[in-house]
Amino acid sequence: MISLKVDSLSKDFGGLKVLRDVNFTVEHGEILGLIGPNGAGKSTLFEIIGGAMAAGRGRIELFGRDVTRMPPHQRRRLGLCRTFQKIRLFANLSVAENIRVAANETAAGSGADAAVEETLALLNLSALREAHPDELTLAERKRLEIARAMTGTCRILMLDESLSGLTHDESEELIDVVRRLNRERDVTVVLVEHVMPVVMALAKRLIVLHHGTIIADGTPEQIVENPMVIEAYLGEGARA
Amino acid sequence: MIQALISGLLLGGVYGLFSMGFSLAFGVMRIINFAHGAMVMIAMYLVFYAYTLLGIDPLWMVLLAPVAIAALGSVVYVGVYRRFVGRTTLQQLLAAIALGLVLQSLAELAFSPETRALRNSWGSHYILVGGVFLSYAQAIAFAVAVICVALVELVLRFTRWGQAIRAVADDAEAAEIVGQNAQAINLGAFGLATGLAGVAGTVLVTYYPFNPVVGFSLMPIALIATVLGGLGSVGGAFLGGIICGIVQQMTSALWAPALQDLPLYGLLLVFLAFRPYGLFGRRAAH
Repeated sequence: MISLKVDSLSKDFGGLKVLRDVNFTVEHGEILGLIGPNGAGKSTLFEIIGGAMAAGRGRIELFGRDVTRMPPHQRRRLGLCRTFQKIRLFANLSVAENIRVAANETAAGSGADAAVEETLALLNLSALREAHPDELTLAERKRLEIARAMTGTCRILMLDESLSGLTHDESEELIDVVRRLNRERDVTVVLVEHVMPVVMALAKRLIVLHHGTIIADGTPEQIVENPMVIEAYLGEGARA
Repeated sequence: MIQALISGLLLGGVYGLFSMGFSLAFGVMRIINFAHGAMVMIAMYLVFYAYTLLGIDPLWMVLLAPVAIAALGSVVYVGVYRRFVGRTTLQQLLAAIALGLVLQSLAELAFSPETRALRNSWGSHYILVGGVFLSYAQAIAFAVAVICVALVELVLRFTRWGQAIRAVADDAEAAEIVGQNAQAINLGAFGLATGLAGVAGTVLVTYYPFNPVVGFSLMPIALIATVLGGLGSVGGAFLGGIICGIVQQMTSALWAPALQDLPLYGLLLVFLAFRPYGLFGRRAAH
Protein backbone atom coordinates (compact mmCIF):
# COMPACT_ATOMS: atom_id res chain seq x y z
CA MET A 1 0.00 0.00 0.00
CA ILE A 2 1.31 3.44 -0.93
CA SER A 3 1.37 5.99 1.90
CA LEU A 4 2.86 8.92 0.01
CA LYS A 5 3.00 9.63 -3.70
CA VAL A 6 4.87 12.58 -5.19
CA ASP A 7 3.87 12.97 -8.80
CA SER A 8 5.69 15.22 -11.31
CA LEU A 9 6.45 17.83 -8.66
CA SER A 10 8.24 21.00 -9.73
CA LYS A 11 8.95 24.24 -7.95
CA ASP A 12 10.57 27.48 -9.15
CA PHE A 13 11.71 30.46 -7.14
CA GLY A 14 11.74 33.18 -9.76
CA GLY A 15 14.04 31.82 -12.46
CA LEU A 16 15.60 29.22 -10.16
CA LYS A 17 14.26 25.69 -10.61
CA VAL A 18 14.47 24.11 -7.16
CA LEU A 19 12.55 20.92 -7.97
CA ARG A 20 12.23 19.45 -11.46
CA ASP A 21 9.66 16.78 -12.18
CA VAL A 22 10.20 14.81 -8.96
CA ASN A 23 8.42 11.45 -8.86
CA PHE A 24 8.51 8.83 -6.11
CA THR A 25 6.28 6.79 -3.85
CA VAL A 26 6.71 5.64 -0.25
CA GLU A 27 5.25 2.30 0.74
CA HIS A 28 3.45 1.83 4.04
CA GLY A 29 5.96 0.91 6.77
CA GLU A 30 9.05 1.98 4.82
CA ILE A 31 11.93 3.99 6.23
CA LEU A 32 13.08 6.22 3.38
CA GLY A 33 16.12 8.48 3.52
CA LEU A 34 16.27 11.59 1.38
CA ILE A 35 19.84 12.72 0.84
CA GLY A 36 21.77 15.10 -1.36
CA PRO A 37 24.10 18.07 -1.22
CA ASN A 38 23.04 21.46 0.18
CA GLY A 39 20.70 23.20 -2.22
CA ALA A 40 19.53 19.93 -3.76
CA GLY A 41 15.88 20.75 -2.92
CA LYS A 42 15.35 18.36 0.01
CA SER A 43 13.97 20.95 2.40
CA THR A 44 11.77 22.49 -0.29
CA LEU A 45 10.38 19.03 -1.02
CA PHE A 46 9.69 18.55 2.70
CA GLU A 47 7.98 21.92 2.95
CA ILE A 48 5.75 21.13 -0.04
CA ILE A 49 4.82 17.65 1.20
CA GLY A 50 4.04 19.09 4.66
CA GLY A 51 1.93 21.85 3.13
CA ALA A 52 3.94 24.81 4.44
CA MET A 53 4.88 25.71 0.86
CA ALA A 54 2.66 25.54 -2.22
CA ALA A 55 3.63 23.17 -5.01
CA GLY A 56 4.52 24.78 -8.32
CA ARG A 57 3.35 21.96 -10.58
CA GLY A 58 2.54 18.35 -9.83
CA ARG A 59 0.55 16.50 -7.22
CA ILE A 60 0.95 15.08 -3.70
CA GLU A 61 -1.12 12.12 -2.55
CA LEU A 62 -1.40 10.90 1.03
CA PHE A 63 -2.95 7.46 1.50
CA GLY A 64 -4.48 7.74 -1.98
CA ARG A 65 -5.96 11.18 -1.38
CA ASP A 66 -4.92 14.30 -3.29
CA VAL A 67 -3.63 16.77 -0.70
CA THR A 68 -1.80 19.16 -3.06
CA ARG A 69 -3.91 22.13 -1.99
CA MET A 70 -4.76 20.94 1.51
CA PRO A 71 -3.57 23.18 4.40
CA PRO A 72 -0.94 21.73 6.77
CA HIS A 73 -3.29 21.23 9.74
CA GLN A 74 -5.55 19.03 7.66
CA ARG A 75 -2.60 16.96 6.41
CA ARG A 76 -1.54 16.50 10.05
CA ARG A 77 -5.00 15.27 10.95
CA LEU A 78 -4.66 12.71 8.16
CA GLY A 79 -1.54 11.41 9.91
CA LEU A 80 1.33 13.31 8.23
CA CYS A 81 3.73 14.38 10.99
CA ARG A 82 6.90 16.37 10.56
CA THR A 83 9.71 18.15 12.36
CA PHE A 84 11.55 21.29 11.32
CA GLN A 85 15.18 21.51 10.28
CA LYS A 86 15.61 24.39 12.73
CA ILE A 87 13.86 23.45 15.96
CA ARG A 88 10.63 25.42 16.37
CA LEU A 89 9.06 24.61 19.70
CA PHE A 90 6.39 26.72 21.41
CA ALA A 91 8.67 28.73 23.68
CA ASN A 92 5.97 29.89 26.09
CA LEU A 93 4.46 26.44 26.60
CA SER A 94 5.82 23.72 28.86
CA VAL A 95 7.07 20.40 27.50
CA ALA A 96 3.72 18.73 28.27
CA GLU A 97 1.77 21.65 26.77
CA ASN A 98 3.84 21.52 23.58
CA ILE A 99 2.76 17.92 23.12
CA ARG A 100 -0.76 18.59 24.34
CA VAL A 101 -1.42 21.25 21.67
CA ALA A 102 -0.75 18.62 19.02
CA ALA A 103 -2.48 15.77 20.84
CA ASN A 104 -5.67 17.82 21.19
CA GLU A 105 -6.06 17.68 17.42
CA THR A 106 -4.56 14.32 16.61
CA ALA A 107 -5.36 11.86 19.38
CA ALA A 108 -8.31 9.59 18.73
CA GLY A 109 -9.75 6.88 20.91
CA SER A 110 -8.05 7.07 24.30
CA GLY A 111 -7.84 10.86 24.03
CA ALA A 112 -5.32 13.63 24.38
CA ASP A 113 -4.38 13.02 28.03
CA ALA A 114 -3.37 9.43 27.37
CA ALA A 115 -1.52 10.39 24.19
CA VAL A 116 0.49 13.06 26.04
CA GLU A 117 1.49 10.65 28.82
CA GLU A 118 2.38 7.92 26.37
CA THR A 119 4.45 10.29 24.24
CA LEU A 120 6.27 11.75 27.25
CA ALA A 121 7.21 8.23 28.34
CA LEU A 122 8.24 7.08 24.85
CA LEU A 123 10.56 10.05 24.32
CA ASN A 124 11.86 9.93 27.90
CA LEU A 125 10.51 13.38 28.70
CA SER A 126 8.24 12.63 31.68
CA ALA A 127 10.60 14.18 34.22
CA LEU A 128 10.76 17.37 32.15
CA ARG A 129 7.03 17.84 31.64
CA GLU A 130 6.85 21.23 33.41
CA ALA A 131 10.08 22.60 31.91
CA HIS A 132 10.05 25.17 29.11
CA PRO A 133 12.00 24.66 25.88
CA ASP A 134 14.69 27.18 26.85
CA GLU A 135 15.53 25.00 29.85
CA LEU A 136 16.24 21.92 27.73
CA THR A 137 19.44 20.63 26.18
CA LEU A 138 19.68 20.29 22.40
CA ALA A 139 19.00 16.56 22.59
CA GLU A 140 15.96 17.12 24.80
CA ARG A 141 14.63 19.80 22.46
CA LYS A 142 15.04 17.43 19.50
CA ARG A 143 13.23 14.70 21.43
CA LEU A 144 10.44 17.15 22.26
CA GLU A 145 10.07 18.18 18.64
CA ILE A 146 9.74 14.55 17.60
CA ALA A 147 7.29 13.97 20.47
CA ARG A 148 5.15 16.92 19.42
CA ALA A 149 5.24 15.78 15.80
CA MET A 150 4.26 12.14 16.38
CA THR A 151 1.82 12.30 19.30
CA GLY A 152 -1.66 10.99 18.61
CA THR A 153 -2.33 9.44 15.24
CA CYS A 154 0.86 9.46 13.21
CA ARG A 155 1.06 7.44 10.00
CA ILE A 156 4.00 9.11 8.25
CA LEU A 157 6.79 10.74 10.25
CA MET A 158 8.98 13.16 8.33
CA LEU A 159 12.20 14.02 10.14
CA ASP A 160 14.16 17.01 8.86
CA GLU A 161 17.70 16.61 10.21
CA SER A 162 16.27 15.71 13.61
CA LEU A 163 19.25 13.53 14.44
CA SER A 164 22.04 15.94 13.53
CA GLY A 165 24.17 17.71 16.10
CA LEU A 166 23.77 14.99 18.71
CA THR A 167 26.37 12.88 20.48
CA HIS A 168 26.66 9.23 19.50
CA ASP A 169 24.61 8.07 22.50
CA GLU A 170 21.90 10.70 22.03
CA SER A 171 21.69 9.80 18.38
CA GLU A 172 21.46 6.07 19.15
CA GLU A 173 18.62 6.74 21.59
CA LEU A 174 16.60 8.61 18.96
CA ILE A 175 17.37 6.03 16.27
CA ASP A 176 15.93 3.42 18.62
CA VAL A 177 12.77 5.49 19.13
CA VAL A 178 12.29 5.91 15.38
CA ARG A 179 12.81 2.18 14.82
CA ARG A 180 10.26 1.36 17.51
CA LEU A 181 7.72 3.74 16.01
CA ASN A 182 8.25 2.06 12.66
CA ARG A 183 8.15 -1.51 13.97
CA GLU A 184 5.61 -1.31 16.77
CA ARG A 185 3.24 1.34 15.43
CA ASP A 186 3.59 0.86 11.71
CA VAL A 187 4.71 4.44 11.22
CA THR A 188 6.21 5.13 7.80
CA VAL A 189 9.35 7.26 8.13
CA VAL A 190 10.85 9.75 5.68
CA LEU A 191 14.03 11.43 6.82
CA VAL A 192 16.30 14.11 5.48
CA GLU A 193 19.71 13.68 7.04
CA HIS A 194 23.31 14.68 6.38
CA VAL A 195 24.81 12.36 8.98
CA MET A 196 25.43 9.33 6.79
CA PRO A 197 25.92 6.76 9.61
CA VAL A 198 22.45 7.70 10.89
CA VAL A 199 20.91 7.38 7.44
CA MET A 200 22.62 4.04 6.89
CA ALA A 201 21.50 2.78 10.28
CA LEU A 202 17.87 3.68 9.74
CA ALA A 203 16.89 3.81 6.09
CA LYS A 204 16.03 0.75 4.06
CA ARG A 205 15.83 2.82 0.89
CA LEU A 206 17.50 6.05 -0.19
CA ILE A 207 16.55 8.70 -2.71
CA VAL A 208 19.28 11.10 -3.83
CA LEU A 209 18.35 14.59 -4.96
CA HIS A 210 20.74 16.78 -6.92
CA HIS A 211 19.81 20.16 -8.43
CA GLY A 212 16.15 19.40 -7.79
CA THR A 213 16.18 16.09 -9.64
CA ILE A 214 16.22 12.52 -8.39
CA ILE A 215 19.51 11.01 -9.54
CA ALA A 216 19.28 7.69 -7.69
CA ASP A 217 16.77 5.54 -5.84
CA GLY A 218 17.72 2.27 -4.18
CA THR A 219 18.98 0.46 -1.13
CA PRO A 220 21.80 2.06 0.89
CA GLU A 221 24.21 -0.54 -0.54
CA GLN A 222 23.23 0.34 -4.11
CA ILE A 223 23.42 4.07 -3.43
CA VAL A 224 26.97 4.07 -2.04
CA GLU A 225 28.14 2.28 -5.17
CA ASN A 226 26.28 4.56 -7.58
CA PRO A 227 28.84 6.59 -9.60
CA MET A 228 26.48 9.56 -10.05
CA VAL A 229 25.86 9.77 -6.32
CA ILE A 230 29.55 9.46 -5.55
CA GLU A 231 30.32 12.28 -7.93
CA ALA A 232 27.49 14.57 -6.85
CA TYR A 233 27.39 13.98 -3.11
CA LEU A 234 29.28 11.21 -1.35
CA GLY A 235 32.75 11.51 -2.86
CA GLU A 236 35.18 8.68 -3.49
CA GLY A 237 35.73 8.09 0.26
CA ALA A 238 32.23 6.65 0.66
CA ARG A 239 33.08 3.56 -1.34
CA ALA A 240 35.85 2.56 1.07
CA MET B 1 -3.07 60.92 48.25
CA ILE B 2 -4.80 57.67 49.28
CA GLN B 3 -7.89 58.87 47.43
CA ALA B 4 -5.81 59.40 44.27
CA LEU B 5 -4.18 56.01 44.69
CA ILE B 6 -7.53 54.21 45.01
CA SER B 7 -9.08 56.18 42.15
CA GLY B 8 -6.04 55.37 40.02
CA LEU B 9 -6.29 51.70 40.87
CA LEU B 10 -9.98 51.57 39.94
CA LEU B 11 -9.52 53.49 36.70
CA GLY B 12 -6.37 51.50 35.96
CA GLY B 13 -8.32 48.25 36.17
CA VAL B 14 -10.45 49.36 33.23
CA TYR B 15 -7.41 50.65 31.37
CA GLY B 16 -5.89 47.24 31.99
CA LEU B 17 -8.94 45.45 30.65
CA PHE B 18 -8.88 47.59 27.53
CA SER B 19 -5.13 47.12 27.10
CA MET B 20 -5.38 43.34 27.48
CA GLY B 21 -7.40 43.10 24.28
CA PHE B 22 -4.94 45.31 22.45
CA SER B 23 -2.03 43.22 23.75
CA LEU B 24 -3.75 39.94 22.87
CA ALA B 25 -4.20 40.96 19.22
CA PHE B 26 -0.57 42.00 19.07
CA GLY B 27 0.73 38.97 20.94
CA VAL B 28 -1.09 36.40 18.85
CA MET B 29 -1.23 38.00 15.41
CA ARG B 30 1.35 40.85 15.62
CA ILE B 31 -1.51 43.18 14.72
CA ILE B 32 -1.29 46.71 16.13
CA ASN B 33 -5.00 47.34 16.24
CA PHE B 34 -5.27 51.09 16.36
CA ALA B 35 -9.01 50.66 15.89
CA HIS B 36 -9.22 48.95 19.31
CA GLY B 37 -10.22 52.25 20.92
CA ALA B 38 -12.97 52.68 18.33
CA MET B 39 -14.39 49.33 19.49
CA VAL B 40 -14.55 50.70 23.05
CA MET B 41 -16.29 53.82 21.73
CA ILE B 42 -18.88 51.75 19.82
CA ALA B 43 -19.54 49.66 22.94
CA MET B 44 -20.10 52.88 24.90
CA TYR B 45 -22.71 54.09 22.42
CA LEU B 46 -24.32 50.67 22.33
CA VAL B 47 -24.70 50.58 26.11
CA PHE B 48 -25.78 54.21 26.22
CA TYR B 49 -28.60 53.69 23.73
CA ALA B 50 -29.59 50.34 25.20
CA TYR B 51 -30.10 52.18 28.49
CA THR B 52 -31.67 55.40 27.25
CA LEU B 53 -33.91 53.87 24.58
CA LEU B 54 -34.67 50.42 25.97
CA GLY B 55 -33.96 50.85 29.66
CA ILE B 56 -31.47 47.97 29.77
CA ASP B 57 -29.19 48.33 32.79
CA PRO B 58 -25.48 48.62 31.83
CA LEU B 59 -24.71 45.62 34.04
CA TRP B 60 -26.79 43.41 31.73
CA MET B 61 -24.90 44.82 28.81
CA VAL B 62 -21.67 43.41 30.27
CA LEU B 63 -22.91 40.14 28.83
CA LEU B 64 -24.41 41.44 25.58
CA ALA B 65 -22.19 44.29 24.33
CA PRO B 66 -18.93 42.26 24.24
CA VAL B 67 -20.62 39.65 22.07
CA ALA B 68 -21.73 42.34 19.62
CA ILE B 69 -18.29 43.98 19.61
CA ALA B 70 -16.57 40.59 19.22
CA ALA B 71 -18.79 39.90 16.20
CA LEU B 72 -17.85 43.29 14.75
CA GLY B 73 -14.20 42.54 15.50
CA SER B 74 -14.43 39.22 13.67
CA VAL B 75 -15.84 40.95 10.59
CA VAL B 76 -13.02 43.52 10.78
CA TYR B 77 -10.45 40.73 11.10
CA VAL B 78 -11.72 38.89 8.04
CA GLY B 79 -12.21 42.07 6.00
CA VAL B 80 -9.07 44.00 6.94
CA TYR B 81 -6.50 42.34 9.16
CA ARG B 82 -6.33 38.73 7.99
CA ARG B 83 -3.91 39.53 5.17
CA PHE B 84 -1.48 41.19 7.59
CA VAL B 85 -1.30 38.43 10.21
CA GLY B 86 2.20 37.73 11.48
CA ARG B 87 3.63 40.88 9.94
CA THR B 88 3.70 44.19 11.78
CA THR B 89 4.03 46.22 8.61
CA LEU B 90 3.54 49.91 7.99
CA GLN B 91 0.60 49.00 5.74
CA GLN B 92 -1.04 47.12 8.62
CA LEU B 93 -0.58 50.07 10.96
CA LEU B 94 -1.97 52.52 8.39
CA ALA B 95 -4.92 50.22 7.70
CA ALA B 96 -5.67 50.08 11.44
CA ILE B 97 -5.47 53.87 11.81
CA ALA B 98 -7.70 54.32 8.75
CA LEU B 99 -10.18 51.82 10.13
CA GLY B 100 -10.27 53.62 13.48
CA LEU B 101 -10.86 56.95 11.72
CA VAL B 102 -13.62 55.48 9.55
CA LEU B 103 -15.41 54.09 12.62
CA GLN B 104 -14.95 57.41 14.42
CA SER B 105 -16.32 59.40 11.45
CA LEU B 106 -19.28 57.06 11.13
CA ALA B 107 -19.98 57.55 14.85
CA GLU B 108 -19.83 61.34 14.38
CA LEU B 109 -22.34 61.07 11.55
CA ALA B 110 -24.62 58.73 13.43
CA PHE B 111 -24.43 60.18 16.94
CA SER B 112 -23.03 63.74 16.45
CA PRO B 113 -19.69 64.87 17.94
CA GLU B 114 -21.46 65.93 21.15
CA THR B 115 -20.04 64.60 24.45
CA ARG B 116 -22.50 62.53 26.44
CA ALA B 117 -22.70 60.87 29.81
CA LEU B 118 -24.82 57.98 30.95
CA ARG B 119 -26.84 58.78 34.07
CA ASN B 120 -28.19 55.59 35.54
CA SER B 121 -29.58 54.90 38.99
CA TRP B 122 -26.33 53.76 40.60
CA GLY B 123 -23.64 55.31 38.44
CA SER B 124 -23.28 58.50 40.50
CA HIS B 125 -23.47 56.88 43.97
CA TYR B 126 -20.50 56.93 46.31
CA ILE B 127 -19.65 55.18 49.52
CA LEU B 128 -17.14 56.30 52.11
CA VAL B 129 -14.65 53.61 53.14
CA GLY B 130 -12.01 54.62 55.70
CA GLY B 131 -12.03 58.23 54.57
CA VAL B 132 -11.85 57.33 50.89
CA PHE B 133 -14.75 57.99 48.53
CA LEU B 134 -15.50 55.02 46.32
CA SER B 135 -17.69 55.45 43.26
CA TYR B 136 -20.12 52.56 42.76
CA ALA B 137 -19.54 52.72 39.03
CA GLN B 138 -15.77 52.66 39.34
CA ALA B 139 -15.83 49.87 41.91
CA ILE B 140 -18.15 47.76 39.74
CA ALA B 141 -16.02 48.50 36.68
CA PHE B 142 -12.90 47.42 38.54
CA ALA B 143 -14.59 44.23 39.78
CA VAL B 144 -15.74 43.38 36.25
CA ALA B 145 -12.22 44.05 34.97
CA VAL B 146 -10.64 41.76 37.56
CA ILE B 147 -13.16 38.99 36.82
CA CYS B 148 -12.49 39.32 33.08
CA VAL B 149 -8.72 39.24 33.58
CA ALA B 150 -9.00 36.12 35.73
CA LEU B 151 -11.29 34.44 33.19
CA VAL B 152 -9.02 35.28 30.26
CA GLU B 153 -5.95 34.03 32.13
CA LEU B 154 -7.78 30.81 33.04
CA VAL B 155 -8.91 30.32 29.45
CA LEU B 156 -5.41 30.94 28.08
CA ARG B 157 -3.72 28.68 30.61
CA PHE B 158 -6.05 25.79 31.11
CA THR B 159 -8.33 25.33 28.12
CA ARG B 160 -7.64 23.60 24.86
CA TRP B 161 -8.51 26.80 22.99
CA GLY B 162 -6.22 28.85 25.21
CA GLN B 163 -3.29 26.51 24.66
CA ALA B 164 -3.92 26.70 20.92
CA ILE B 165 -3.94 30.52 21.06
CA ARG B 166 -0.62 30.49 22.95
CA ALA B 167 0.86 28.04 20.47
CA VAL B 168 -0.23 30.15 17.49
CA ALA B 169 1.15 33.24 19.25
CA ASP B 170 4.52 31.50 19.56
CA ASP B 171 4.71 30.11 16.04
CA ALA B 172 1.65 29.97 13.80
CA GLU B 173 3.32 27.82 11.15
CA ALA B 174 4.49 25.25 13.68
CA ALA B 175 0.99 25.22 15.19
CA GLU B 176 -0.45 24.47 11.74
CA ILE B 177 2.06 21.67 11.23
CA VAL B 178 0.94 20.00 14.48
CA GLY B 179 -2.72 20.15 13.52
CA GLN B 180 -4.03 23.54 14.67
CA ASN B 181 -6.09 25.61 12.25
CA ALA B 182 -4.18 28.87 12.79
CA GLN B 183 -6.62 31.01 10.80
CA ALA B 184 -9.56 29.86 12.91
CA ILE B 185 -7.57 30.35 16.11
CA ASN B 186 -6.63 33.87 15.01
CA LEU B 187 -10.22 34.72 14.21
CA GLY B 188 -11.34 33.55 17.65
CA ALA B 189 -8.49 35.35 19.41
CA PHE B 190 -9.28 38.58 17.60
CA GLY B 191 -12.93 38.19 18.56
CA LEU B 192 -11.83 37.73 22.20
CA ALA B 193 -9.55 40.78 21.99
CA THR B 194 -12.30 43.03 20.66
CA GLY B 195 -14.78 41.47 23.08
CA LEU B 196 -12.53 42.75 25.89
CA ALA B 197 -12.76 46.21 24.31
CA GLY B 198 -16.53 45.71 24.45
CA VAL B 199 -16.42 44.93 28.17
CA ALA B 200 -14.16 47.94 28.81
CA GLY B 201 -16.56 50.24 26.93
CA THR B 202 -19.55 48.82 28.79
CA VAL B 203 -18.16 49.53 32.25
CA LEU B 204 -16.39 52.76 31.31
CA VAL B 205 -19.56 54.38 30.02
CA THR B 206 -21.11 54.22 33.50
CA TYR B 207 -18.80 56.99 34.75
CA TYR B 208 -16.72 58.30 31.85
CA PRO B 209 -18.07 61.01 29.50
CA PHE B 210 -17.73 59.98 25.89
CA ASN B 211 -17.92 61.15 22.30
CA PRO B 212 -16.76 59.67 18.98
CA VAL B 213 -13.09 60.53 19.61
CA VAL B 214 -12.91 58.84 23.02
CA GLY B 215 -11.50 55.68 21.44
CA PHE B 216 -8.52 57.42 19.89
CA SER B 217 -7.89 59.34 23.09
CA LEU B 218 -7.58 56.01 24.94
CA MET B 219 -5.09 54.47 22.51
CA PRO B 220 -1.94 56.02 24.04
CA ILE B 221 -2.89 54.35 27.33
CA ALA B 222 -3.21 50.97 25.59
CA LEU B 223 0.17 51.40 23.93
CA ILE B 224 1.89 52.47 27.14
CA ALA B 225 0.24 49.73 29.24
CA THR B 226 1.22 47.11 26.65
CA VAL B 227 4.85 48.24 26.59
CA LEU B 228 5.03 48.44 30.40
CA GLY B 229 3.49 44.99 30.82
CA GLY B 230 5.55 43.43 28.05
CA LEU B 231 4.58 43.12 24.40
CA GLY B 232 2.25 40.19 24.01
CA SER B 233 1.82 39.54 27.74
CA VAL B 234 -1.91 39.71 28.39
CA GLY B 235 -1.65 39.71 32.21
CA GLY B 236 1.23 42.17 31.94
CA ALA B 237 -0.95 44.57 29.93
CA PHE B 238 -3.52 44.50 32.74
CA LEU B 239 -0.87 45.42 35.31
CA GLY B 240 0.47 48.03 32.88
CA GLY B 241 -3.02 49.53 32.72
CA ILE B 242 -3.20 49.68 36.51
CA ILE B 243 0.19 51.43 36.63
CA CYS B 244 -1.08 53.93 34.05
CA GLY B 245 -4.22 54.61 36.08
CA ILE B 246 -2.33 55.14 39.33
CA VAL B 247 0.39 57.32 37.77
CA GLN B 248 -2.26 59.43 36.02
CA GLN B 249 -4.35 60.01 39.14
CA MET B 250 -1.37 60.61 41.43
CA THR B 251 0.07 63.14 38.98
CA SER B 252 -3.28 64.83 38.73
CA ALA B 253 -3.60 65.07 42.52
CA LEU B 254 -0.02 65.97 43.37
CA TRP B 255 0.96 68.06 40.37
CA ALA B 256 -1.65 69.23 37.86
CA PRO B 257 -4.56 67.49 36.11
CA ALA B 258 -3.42 68.91 32.76
CA LEU B 259 -0.09 67.11 33.12
CA GLN B 260 -1.50 63.75 34.20
CA ASP B 261 -0.26 61.93 31.08
CA LEU B 262 3.23 63.43 31.05
CA PRO B 263 4.89 60.90 33.43
CA LEU B 264 3.30 58.09 31.40
CA TYR B 265 5.14 59.17 28.26
CA GLY B 266 8.32 59.47 30.31
CA LEU B 267 7.78 55.95 31.60
CA LEU B 268 7.20 54.75 28.05
CA LEU B 269 10.51 56.22 26.90
CA VAL B 270 12.38 54.76 29.88
CA PHE B 271 10.95 51.28 29.27
CA LEU B 272 11.61 51.40 25.53
CA ALA B 273 15.19 52.43 26.20
CA PHE B 274 16.09 50.18 29.13
CA ARG B 275 13.52 47.37 29.32
CA PRO B 276 11.85 47.04 25.91
CA TYR B 277 10.42 43.63 26.79
CA GLY B 278 8.48 45.23 29.68
CA LEU B 279 7.76 43.73 33.06
CA PHE B 280 6.48 40.40 31.79
CA GLY B 281 7.73 40.16 28.21
CA ARG B 282 7.29 36.94 26.26
CA ARG B 283 10.01 34.36 26.09
CA ALA B 284 11.99 34.42 22.90
CA ALA B 285 11.32 31.60 20.46
CA HIS B 286 13.74 28.68 20.43
